[in-house]
This record gives sequence, C-alpha cells and structure tokens, in this order.
Amino acid sequence: MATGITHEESIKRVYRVCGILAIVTAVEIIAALSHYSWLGLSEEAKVAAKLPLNVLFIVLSAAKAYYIMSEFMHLRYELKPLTISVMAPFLFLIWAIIAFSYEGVSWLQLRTWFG
Amino acid sequence: MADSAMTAHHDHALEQSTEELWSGGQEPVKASYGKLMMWYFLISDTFTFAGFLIAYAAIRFAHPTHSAGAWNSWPDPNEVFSATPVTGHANLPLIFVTFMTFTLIVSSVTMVRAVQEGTRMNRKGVMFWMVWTILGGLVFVGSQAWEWQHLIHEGMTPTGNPFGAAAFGALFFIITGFHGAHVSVGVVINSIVLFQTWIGTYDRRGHYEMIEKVGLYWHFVDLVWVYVFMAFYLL
Amino acid sequence: MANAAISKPASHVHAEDHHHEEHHHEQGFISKYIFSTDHKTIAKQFLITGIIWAILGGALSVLFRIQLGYPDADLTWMKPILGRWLDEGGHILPEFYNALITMHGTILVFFVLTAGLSGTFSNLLIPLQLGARDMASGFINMLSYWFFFLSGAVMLASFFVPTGAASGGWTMYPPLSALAQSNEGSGFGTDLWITSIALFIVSVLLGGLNYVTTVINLRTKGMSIFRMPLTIWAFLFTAIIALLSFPALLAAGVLLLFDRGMGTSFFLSEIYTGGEALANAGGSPILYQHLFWFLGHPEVYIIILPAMGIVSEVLSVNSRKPVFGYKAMIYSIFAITVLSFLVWAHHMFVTGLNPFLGSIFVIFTLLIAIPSAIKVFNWIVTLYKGNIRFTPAMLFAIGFVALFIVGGLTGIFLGNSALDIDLHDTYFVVAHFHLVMGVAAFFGTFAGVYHWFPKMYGRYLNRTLGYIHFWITIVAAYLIFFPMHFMIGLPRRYPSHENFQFADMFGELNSFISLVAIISFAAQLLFVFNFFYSIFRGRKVRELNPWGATTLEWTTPIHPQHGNWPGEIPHVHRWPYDYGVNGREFIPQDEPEPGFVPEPEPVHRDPQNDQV
Repeated sequence: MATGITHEESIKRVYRVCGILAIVTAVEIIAALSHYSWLGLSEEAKVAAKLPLNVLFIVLSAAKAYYIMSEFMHLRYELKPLTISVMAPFLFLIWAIIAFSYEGVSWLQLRTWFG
Repeated sequence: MADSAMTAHHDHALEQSTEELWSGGQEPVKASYGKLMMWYFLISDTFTFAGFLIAYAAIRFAHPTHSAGAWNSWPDPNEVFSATPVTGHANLPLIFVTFMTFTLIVSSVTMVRAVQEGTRMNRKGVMFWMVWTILGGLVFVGSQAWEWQHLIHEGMTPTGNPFGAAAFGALFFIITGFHGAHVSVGVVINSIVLFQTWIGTYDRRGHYEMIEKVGLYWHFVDLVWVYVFMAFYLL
Repeated sequence: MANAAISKPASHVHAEDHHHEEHHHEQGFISKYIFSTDHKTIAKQFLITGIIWAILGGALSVLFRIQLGYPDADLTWMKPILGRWLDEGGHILPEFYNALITMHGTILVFFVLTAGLSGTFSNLLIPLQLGARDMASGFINMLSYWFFFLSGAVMLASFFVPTGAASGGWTMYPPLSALAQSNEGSGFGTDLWITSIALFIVSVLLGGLNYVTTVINLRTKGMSIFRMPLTIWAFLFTAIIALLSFPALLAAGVLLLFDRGMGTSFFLSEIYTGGEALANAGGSPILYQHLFWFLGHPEVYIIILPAMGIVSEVLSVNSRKPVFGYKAMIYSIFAITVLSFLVWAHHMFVTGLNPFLGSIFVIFTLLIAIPSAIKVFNWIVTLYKGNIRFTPAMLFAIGFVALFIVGGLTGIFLGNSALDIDLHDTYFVVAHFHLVMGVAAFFGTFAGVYHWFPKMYGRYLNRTLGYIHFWITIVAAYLIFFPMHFMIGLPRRYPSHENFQFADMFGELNSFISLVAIISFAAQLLFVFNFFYSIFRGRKVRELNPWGATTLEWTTPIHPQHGNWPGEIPHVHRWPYDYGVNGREFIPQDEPEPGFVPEPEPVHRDPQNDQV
C-alpha cells in the first residue's frame, strides 16, 4: 500500500499508533479524573483548572484524530489532492463552532440578566 | 517485498507529473471511484455528526457550569458515569467508558491489520482480523447498551435526569444513539464482507479493496467516538 | 485495457472503460425505464418529475395569489378539490393559506429547483460532456432518483392527512413546528414533511457522491480539468456544497422530531401554549434557525450555480464566442462555494441573534456579491460583439443575466443588518428571492431544457411556442415581482392584510399581481404542452450538432444509447470555447491540432513468443 515500506514495517507503524492512541486516552482519563473529589482539590482549584483542562482535551482529541486519519485511514500515504479534498471541508466547521458557541453564551447571558 | 498492485500503482504515480495525472483517462489520485465515494460520504456524515455536536456546544454554553444540586447546571461526567457492569455499586468514574474506548481503538487496529493482509491477498489473514474487528464492535455496542440501561435505571431520560440539566440526557441519548447505530451498521457490513471473503469473492475479483473501503467506514466510526467521548465524558 | 493489436494510428484511442459490461444485453422494460441505471434516462426521470411538481407548486401559488389579490372571491366551485379548506363564503381558510405557502416553498425549492435542476442536468451532462460512458455508479444514481420519488410520495401524502399538510412555512421554525398542538398543520403533516425531507436528503447525497467522483475519475483522455465546460464546474461545486450542507438540515430535522415526539427541549424553552406553561427548558428556537440556515443559505447556491453553468454554456454557443474569463468564472464559483458557508445568519438578523455576531455575517454577505458580480460582468462581455442567435434558449439565458442583476442587487440591501430590520419578513424579501430563485433559476432551467432537448429526445421544442413562453414569462416576472419592492412594510406570510389600514393602498396592486401571476402560470402550462408534445411530434433532429457547439455531448449519435458512444470515446485536444478561432466558426473539443500524431500504444511483448 505505501510506497517502499515493507509489510513488517507497515505492521509496526500500526501498533505504534495504537500505542500512542492508548497513551493519549489514558492521559485524558487521568486528567479528567483529577477533577474528581478523591484528589481533594478545593472548589476554587477545580473551577480554575476547568478551562486549561478543556483546552487539553480538545488538543489531545485532535491529536488522536490526526493519528487515526493519517495512519489507520492511510491519508498520509495518499496523493496530496485527495488529502486536501478530505481535510479542507473541516475549515467550514471552524466558523460554525465559533458562531454557535458565541450564540450559546449569548443565550445564557440573556437568561441570566433578564430571568 | 510483498508489494501488491497498489504499491506498483503508487510507484508509477510518483513518476507522473500532476499535470499528467489530471489530463483525463485515468484516476488522478490513484483511487477508485468506490474509494472516493466512501471518503466523501464519510465527510458528509461527519458534517451530520458535527451538526449534532455543534448544537450540543450551543446548548451546553447556554447552561451554567456544574454546581451540585442546581437543577439547570451541566452535570459532572465523573458523577454520571461511575458504574461498570461487574463492580456493583462501587464508584469508579469513567472507568467503563475507558474500557469502551480502548475496545473501539483496538478494533480499529485489527481492521487495519485486515486491510494489510488484504493487500497481500491473504484470505485467511483477512478473515482472522475481521473476526476480531467484528467482535470488538459487538463488545462496544453491547457496552453502550449496558450504559444506556444503567443510566435509564438511574433516572436519566430525554426529558430529565437527577444529575443536572435535562438537555444532557437528551443530547447524550441522541448522539450516542446515532453513533451506536453507525457502529451497528458497521458490524453488519463487516460481517457481510467477512462472509464474502470466506467464499472467495475478493480472490476472484483480484483485489481486496472492499476491505479497505469498509475499513475507512470503521475508522470513521472510531473517529466520531473520539469526539463524542470528549464531549460527554471529558469536557 | 487489452487492445494491443493496433491496425492504424488512430487519433482516438480507448478511454479507460470501467465497470460496464452491459453494452449489449437486452433489458426488460422495468430495468430499462423504471429502475434504469442509465444516466440519460435518470435525467429524464428527474426532469419530468420536476415538471410535475412545478405544476403542482405553481398551482398552489395561483390559489394563494387569488386569496391575496381577490380576498372576496368565492371559490365554492372548488369545493370538490379543496373541500373543508374553504369557509362558508368560499374563501380560503387562513390555516390552509399557511399550508399553501409552506408547500409552495418546499416543493419549489427542494423538489423542482434542487432535484429537478441539478438532478436533470448533472445527470445528463456530466458523463456526456466529460466523455464517460455513464456515471461512476449507475446503481447509486438509480437509488438517488427513487429516494427522490419516495420523498415526493410522502410529501404528497401529507396533503391528505386529516390535519392537513405542514403549515409552518417552508423553513418549519419551532416552536410552531415543534408543538403539534399549536396548529393543525403542525400535526402529522409536519411529521410527514420532516420524513420527506430526510428521504430527500438521502437522494441529494447519493447523487452528489456520484457527480463528484465521476468528474474526478471518469474524464476521457485529454479532458484535463481546465478543459471542462463551465457547466461541469458548476455541477461539481454544487455537489460539493450539497454534500456538506444538507447534513445540517438532517440534524435539525432529527432534533425537531425529538422535540415533537419525545418532549425534549432542543428548540423549546420558557414556552406557554394555550395559557399553560410547558416543562421545556434549556433549548432555543434560534438553534434550529442556525442549523436550518446552515443548509438554507448554501441551498440557494445549490439552486443558482447549475443555472449559472447552463447560462455560461448557452450564451457562449449562441454568441459564437468563448465565455469571457473562463478561469475567473471557475474561481468565482469556488469563491461562492466557500463564502456560501459563512453567511447563513443573514437570514436571522432580527431573531435576537447576538448583534456583534450579526455584523460579522454582514461582512461575509457583502463579500459574496463580488464573485457573483464578476460572473455577471463576464456574461455581458461574452455577449458583447457576439454573433448572437436569438433562439428561445438564448433568450432565457440573456433573461437570466438581467433578472440575476436585479434580484442580486436587492440582496445587497438585505445583507445590511440595519436595513434588514425594516425589510425582513416583508414583500421586499419575497421580491428578492423570487427574482433570483423563482425566476432567474427557472430561466436557467428553461435555457437548459430548450438547448438540450434535442440531445434528450432527438427532436426540437417548438420555437414559436418557445418565444411566446419567454416573452410572457419575462414580462410577467417583472410585473409580478418588481412592484413588490415598493410594498413598504407589507408583511409576508399573512393570509390577509385586512386589519392593516396602510395595506389598503396595495389592494389594487395585489389584484394586478395576482392576475399577471395567473396569466404567467398559463404560459408555463403552454411550455409543458410544448415539452410533452415535442417528445412525440417535435421536428426531428437531422444533424449531430444542431447548435454548432464544441462540447462532447454533440459527438454522440442523435439518439445516444447505453454507453453514449457506439465506438471509442473521443479524446479531447482543446478547451471547450474555440469559437471564431482561425477563421472557423467553432472547433469541437475532440478535433486534434493539425499535425497531431497520437502516442503509440504501449506494446506488450510476450518474452517467450516476442509477438505483439
């Protein structure tokens, strides 16, 4: 499938990505559990940690998506135009996520201020 | 090296200029129409899930963050998802979903192995790895079903739940339901393809591209789970 | 492909045949005409189904225009058809009026201008103009049509349920559409509407997958992407937009179904109905609007882009001139595609949308006027100093440009959120979208039908009837919709304006508009007669290339069979706009350059026998 690499090398790459995904997932779970009360964090600490934790989750999930698409779905071995045609539509989602989230915040504010 | 026709295709492609590849009379990205269709269908399906998840984002932002006892605040996943089928009333937050996530990841790995064996026209190898993929899918769907019945038992419905905002339950059931339906369809398709492999359809055809195409679908299902898992269990 | 033994240095060589084995086997009636996998037959299925829906959707508009223009008219004679939708005086009930406008919009936007336009011409022209034997997957193509048929059947059924067809507007906004008890039409009719649209979305997605992969993979040798006609570019980007935007409507529809049937609160919150407070909390109706218009705006480009592609082709052929700015046209289509995904909330300026967010949408909306304007400019320059042949197709194409300018200009007014406060939900909006969609897009469709009817049926449409059709329609279009711009403040979607004194001054104008609308509808029926009559009795086409066009579809036989070209598929040697070059009126795409010598076929030597 991939130019120039052996069958054995292909298999190794798959297991390597499997390991990466497993580790990333484990990190995510541990980070999520840190928010749990057994760690004994104070309420203020939990609230303060929420935003950086969420950013971490989003970044790590994007990393997992990258590995799944590039190795499992073979995108890094495909010709460039195919890869671009698959990835480019995701750009449209960026503005959609921003606009919809902004709207959601706006609704909360309106409800809080106007009951 | 055991290179298949596909590798040879790629080697030839490297010698061809972009201009030549796109001059007509050939596949410009060295992919059959079936594979392209699967890719673009997956992109389209991604946008459907994105529609649901972006609606989730809007609704989530419209709710206050979690505070214990507040009827309208967003539930804390650590509180909601703390049971497993085998540990009774023990409080083990997020452990079961970790198991489910690993199951799906591993079944994706076995799927890739199946595709790889397919490029070597190794019918038995394909069957071996497809069986494990299907099993992984079944375990995932079964686990999801258990999770659903457990939450329903705890009092979560589309219109309310004891943990916080009602929207949490509604979105959870709809989005994991859609995902679970996709996994189930994938298990069915994989089973059909396993059967076809067994009776030698792809040997006669001369290539195992169908494994590659259903593999793409299976990885898509895994990929969507990455984001569903993030949305409901992590954030 | 094994065609090793070469008898002569042919200038045309096999394009890579793909999966079609069915060149010569006999097909039964069912597989040939009903469940056909031949793109030409499927195109005709889409066209004829689209025409039937257009008649129905147009008839609905005649009914509600009667209500608007002649509110005192007694329609008791229509009781056999309209039955309980008329009150004692023979007037249309307000409830029914709402269902009429809802169904008119739904039918025309989705069934006629999306399926009927894209489905027909993408299917007909993509393989023929690219030099392919058929679409990538004839089976999926067949499914695409039959899902469309099924969705139409479900929508038609909704007229006959006891509570009647959906009546929440073609946009089906909650909470009206989410609460079945709020409105008769919000009952089972709305469930059927949502189901029908879901099936329709499946049809569109299946079709779109086929169009995109066929354009990528099945072009004949020599047909590089910058030698594709502008029709193909338009259909390609239309399919891309459809694949990425219809899913949002699917999501919206599913969530709406849950709000209706399961008591969820995606789109409902703090809501009272019939004096009692409902338990729903946490959602927002505006969420539905965001999801709906995330499709809704790209949808209008799905409608207009194929018409634009057709117009580019018809203008060029009938001016005997290349389209001006071929690459600029392509980049404009690309820019429109990208921008169409960024502007959706300009339909929502007055909903309580966050104003800052709204201002971003204003900027993007005004930007999208630029590529549209580039296209208009290029069409006009294409016509300039052209050797114009005023066939009916050409008249409709020129009419498209004129109407698109007028309709597009008012879009700029509406794109300004401050102005939109006064203009939203008034007849100004109705005028705008009817001029661009309800007329211009139709003109593009008509141009296409008149131009390619010979290819579809081997006969010509009657020219005289065509001229009558054109002139009545274009004059009527202006008489109907231009005055609407001046109906300042007149709200749309009202069955009657009798409670508003200021609306009295529009009474006569409304009557006039309704009269012209009825005449225009009659002219369309004339076209329908022309269409079906000419299939059987039209003047027969006697030459392969009746319009003297350069594109590949005219190199097939007059009645192309399954597989399109009986022998080898032509190769392409030039772009599709060689009109007036080297003193020749036109040069077909498949004509080689003088002195062209084809590459020798790669010879396969058998090492043991050393024979070819």
